[in-house]
Amino acid sequence: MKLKFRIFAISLILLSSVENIFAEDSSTENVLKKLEEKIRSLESVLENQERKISFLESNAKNVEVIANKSSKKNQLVNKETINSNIPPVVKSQFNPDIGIIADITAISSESQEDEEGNDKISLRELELIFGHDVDPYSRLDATITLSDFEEVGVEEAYITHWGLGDVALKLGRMKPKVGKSTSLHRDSLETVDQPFVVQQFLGVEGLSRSGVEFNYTLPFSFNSYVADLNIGIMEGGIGEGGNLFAENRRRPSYYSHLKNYWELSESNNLEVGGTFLTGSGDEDSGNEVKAYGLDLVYTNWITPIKRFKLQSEAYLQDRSVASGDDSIFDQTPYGIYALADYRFSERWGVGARYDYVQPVNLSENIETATKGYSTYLTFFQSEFARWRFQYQRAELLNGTSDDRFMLQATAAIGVHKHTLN
Amino acid sequence: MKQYLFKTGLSVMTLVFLFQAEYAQSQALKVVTSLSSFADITQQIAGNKAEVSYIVPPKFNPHFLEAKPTHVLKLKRADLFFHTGLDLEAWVGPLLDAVGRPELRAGGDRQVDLSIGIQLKNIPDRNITRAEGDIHLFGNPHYWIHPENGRIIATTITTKLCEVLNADCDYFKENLSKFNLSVSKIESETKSKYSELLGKEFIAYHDEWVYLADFLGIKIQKFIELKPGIPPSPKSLEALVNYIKIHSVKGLIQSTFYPLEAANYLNKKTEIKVLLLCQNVAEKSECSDYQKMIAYNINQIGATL
Repeated sequence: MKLKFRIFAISLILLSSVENIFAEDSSTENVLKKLEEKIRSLESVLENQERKISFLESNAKNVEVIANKSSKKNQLVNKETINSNIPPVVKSQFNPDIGIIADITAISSESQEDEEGNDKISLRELELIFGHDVDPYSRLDATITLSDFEEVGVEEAYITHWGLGDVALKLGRMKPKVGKSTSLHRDSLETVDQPFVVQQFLGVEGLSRSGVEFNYTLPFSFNSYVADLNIGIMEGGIGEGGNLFAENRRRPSYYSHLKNYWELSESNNLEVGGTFLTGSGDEDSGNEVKAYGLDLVYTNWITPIKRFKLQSEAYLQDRSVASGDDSIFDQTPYGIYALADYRFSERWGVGARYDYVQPVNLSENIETATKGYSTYLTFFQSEFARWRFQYQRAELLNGTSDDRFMLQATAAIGVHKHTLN
Repeated sequence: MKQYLFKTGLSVMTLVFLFQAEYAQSQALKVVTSLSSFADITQQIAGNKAEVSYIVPPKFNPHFLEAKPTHVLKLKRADLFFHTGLDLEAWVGPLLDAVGRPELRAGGDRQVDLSIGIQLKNIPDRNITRAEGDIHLFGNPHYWIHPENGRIIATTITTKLCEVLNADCDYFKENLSKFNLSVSKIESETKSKYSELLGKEFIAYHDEWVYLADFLGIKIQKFIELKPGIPPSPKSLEALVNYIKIHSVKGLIQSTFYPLEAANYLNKKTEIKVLLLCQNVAEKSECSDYQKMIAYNINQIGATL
């Protein structure tokens, strides 16, 4: 009996000790787990702290890898690192760049004509701009315009195609690269309006036609001189109010422009360009009207902020084949403007423009302006908003004059990207 | 007439010969960088194996460059193009459109975004609008000012140079080591020398010194610009005068290309030290190379102690 009791007691003691052992085991496990977690968290901290060192090491390895002619892995490392800098929302975006530019203009004029914005505040133009790379070889850009005066229109919609050797091709509706001012959008002009010669020869807003344009940089080896050649074919017709070609769009017009650019110094440059245009001046199919243009731009950056610019353009029409009665039509009308612009501070700029243009039709358009004197003050509110006040005195063909006061507000939102000029 | 034709022909032939001669002289790898700082680092790594040039004149604000036809030409001839990436160089897109070389465009194998591997600061973590000024969508792009980032940039450049000129890789690696050593030396020397700068407060014209502030441990919380890209108003300058007085601000940091009127006004009102530092190599004569630029910037700030 005693033995049984002893065995029972020993069993109990053993069992309890075994339980203790199990209990000890489970607490050790917990401690181990906690330690593991701590190690993991420490590892992640260490990982973060040594991230830059790892990058340097991996890049050093990449150098070795490349030395052994296997650069693909290296590129993968770099791409991963690039991606780590870019917000997730950007990674997945294939949407085109979208921008909107509003040009709101108030004009006070003595003219009785109900022209664009006379004696009123108007939305002269709202540009909706879209653009994106189509593939590695091409890009699509489009500018849709709306205004108080016109239907919705396509100002530009063109494909730029590269990869054709040294030639770049533009196909679609665009502002042809002729002269200087007509190839600019209104928001890129130094003045509220286009120069008279551009307005009367090419259209109020300059040219905007469908066609094809080739660009080629001549292969001179100078570093501070560039000769850039643009040749194009565009649909017939002319910009709104222009008199160079007839409205008929049946026959194409042809153009070319050679830009000579000299970088005189880091802060001085000179640009001299020559333009040739030919197209139809009436309903028949001949390209009997020709125009020759000369443009000149001198820019001097006095300081990184202060800039002085001198710009001039002249056009001469040759209508000797197109015109009939010499007493009614001028066969060789010409026009010229000269503009001086001075940006004297981060926010302010001033300038003046002189215009002279000869009308084509001497019997009509008695209110056509022939001479103009403009002066303007620009306030750059920010990179995306600008105010401009312009006074203009226009001398008309009928001997009268028109004093015009213009206030222009330009604002841009979204991505605003115009091509280089 | 014949004599005239002969003379003209001779002149043309001489010109052609001169063009050819110029071409023949420049057979080295042509590397174009957006900024002079990248050009200097590249030149230090590439040595005589590459002909390096940059686009933005160092005395100009790299954000507002008016790209020129000569820049187009430069990139048309370039073998490699190194740029900041991000959205600092707003002119790069239109410039590359005019250049028309797919290999230099985003993703092309002849261009390198040097923000690779950089731990960017001020990355917006919310939807942003232009009401906040000309804010950068991808983070603060002035990263090359930090010496550690200089080493990362140099490594990225070396990697690309090795890829393109494999036979000279050892030479590039050797130059990289020298570059890293010299930058590290400046880092270690200045860090200990100016340890007392830690926590000291400065103001700046534009938010472009965040990486340097990070390196030195200084605080830059207020700017002369009302918002990025928006010039100050008289009211905002008065508020800054009070801030400088209350917070014992040590100095005002700005690049040479920003207008000095506001800085001079604050100096007159508060006697704050105006520090004209270099954002890029050759912006000032004291910043003639990358290492000198880094040392100059740090020493100028250190001198306020």
